[in-house]
Amino acid sequence: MMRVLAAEFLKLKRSRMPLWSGLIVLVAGGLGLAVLPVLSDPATQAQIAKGGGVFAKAVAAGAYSPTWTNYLLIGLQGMSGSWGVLTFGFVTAYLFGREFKEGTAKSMLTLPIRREYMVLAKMVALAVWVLCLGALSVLVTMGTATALGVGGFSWARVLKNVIDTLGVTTLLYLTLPFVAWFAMLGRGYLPPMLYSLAVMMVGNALVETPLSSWVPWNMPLHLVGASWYPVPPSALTAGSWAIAVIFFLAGLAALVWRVDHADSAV
Amino acid sequence: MGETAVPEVVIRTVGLTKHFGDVKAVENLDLTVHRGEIYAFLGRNGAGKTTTIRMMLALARPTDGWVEILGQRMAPNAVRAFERIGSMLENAGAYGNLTVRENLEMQRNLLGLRRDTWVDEVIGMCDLSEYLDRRAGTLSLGNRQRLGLGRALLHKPEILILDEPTNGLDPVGIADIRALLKQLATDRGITVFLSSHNLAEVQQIATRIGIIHKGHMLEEVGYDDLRRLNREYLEIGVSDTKRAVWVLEEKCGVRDFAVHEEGSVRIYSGFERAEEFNRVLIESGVGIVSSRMSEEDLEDHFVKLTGGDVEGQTPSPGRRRGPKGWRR
Repeated sequence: MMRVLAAEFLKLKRSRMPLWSGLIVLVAGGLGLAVLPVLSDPATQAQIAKGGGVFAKAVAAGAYSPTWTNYLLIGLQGMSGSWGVLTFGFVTAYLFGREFKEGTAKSMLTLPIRREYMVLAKMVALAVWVLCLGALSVLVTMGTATALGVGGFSWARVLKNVIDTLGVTTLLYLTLPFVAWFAMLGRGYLPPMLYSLAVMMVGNALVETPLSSWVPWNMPLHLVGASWYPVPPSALTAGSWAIAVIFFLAGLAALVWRVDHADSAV
Repeated sequence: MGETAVPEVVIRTVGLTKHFGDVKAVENLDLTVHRGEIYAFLGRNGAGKTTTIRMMLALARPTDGWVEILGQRMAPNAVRAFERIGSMLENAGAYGNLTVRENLEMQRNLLGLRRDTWVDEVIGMCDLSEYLDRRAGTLSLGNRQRLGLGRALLHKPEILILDEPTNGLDPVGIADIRALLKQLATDRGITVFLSSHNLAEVQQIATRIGIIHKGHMLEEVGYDDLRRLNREYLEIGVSDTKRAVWVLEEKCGVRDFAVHEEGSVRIYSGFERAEEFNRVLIESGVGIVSSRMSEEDLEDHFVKLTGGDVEGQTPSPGRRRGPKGWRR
């Protein structure tokens, strides 16, 4: 198992994908947060209020005023409801889909190594990768807030944000085996990316409904709230976590079943 | 080949069948490969070669039948068997961001092998030395094939299963691979199972050829038949086959001949004595229906079996020989 795991990390050597995924976090996270001072400008707020809708409501409620609390929260919400879902999906699609794109799946699957280990090694590499992206997201948020001279910093808030980021990263990670399954089913990158886009849209559509805490890919948003509706953060019950874990295990089982039973290496 | 003991069967397929919906890719295929053989699996594009190899390597599930390699029924996670098999499927893949050396090193680590001289030997065998620090993504198709072959050889397999191994190689590269496979079989006793649509290529190295067409195994041609099929012969149509055989053996002292079918005897040497053979047969009361030198070889045989031309080669109008096909 350790040999397969080492191979998974070696495969990333000189790959541009870790860099691209980091850039997405930098750009999507950093630029998104950089507009907060603009939104807090009274003239801009008046214009937004004229436009009406949920966004006007959110701005009026002070969800976008440039405070450390808001920066940390909105950074996390961006990860939970938009770029995080897509970037993590992109990373998963790459890890699993590249074996088909580069024609290496057939040689992988004919190695004298149990196929489950190969799946597990990829899932471990994926966990490390998304955790790094989560950590980078916290750093980007803190960096942007510091650069813009936002007031109200406190380590307690940062610590809570780190814990919440860990929670969101875990919840998003638990949805990824099905993304990987789509990568194997579609033997490439497009099907898993379309799936990620679809679940992101479903997640956003459900965020205001009571289903929010029961749908696995919606749980991260439920946990940290969605300032753009606005929906406040809300804790997840043990039942929600159980569903998330069951969803993960089902995805993992589907993935293992696929490598063991499907005609895998076309 | 001068061996008296029956060699061990190392690959066996029994009733192997694969359907993709209505498409019958492989149908009830039985084949056996013995230890030390170079078995060429020959067929035109779409004949079912790659599908068969995928089933052999548990990359595709048979609709029916089974594959046994080294006594083990092939299935996903047949780890023990895979430890003894090296394989390379059509268009060998490689991690494009890694160098050739890193691709090989990764394979070595995955196989749990210690770095030893064999790895260097494999690099030399596959002529990869000058590309070691090149990224695999920048390699030509031919060099990728070499890398794929190198990876397949790293763990000193007993059996090599190769799908179109010379795909993308230039003529020199093809000759190198051919020599390498021959060397692996003779010096190291590695059994080679390779698929190809290129008859000219395989008939130079194969000790046995299996011809597959539209998913059906049409024929398996052994080493002796191969030699015969690649040799000129004198075909004599006779009225009494049994007597003709006796006359040729006893009166003409011919040993290198075979009864092709009732009423037809093929003589594979001593063509300068053709007139004598005919005369003695007639004097011995055997009627001669026809007598001709034949140039038929394995290629014609293949064309006849599959009902078409050999893949990748076009008939030359000036050298056509009627319904039997054509010669290069």
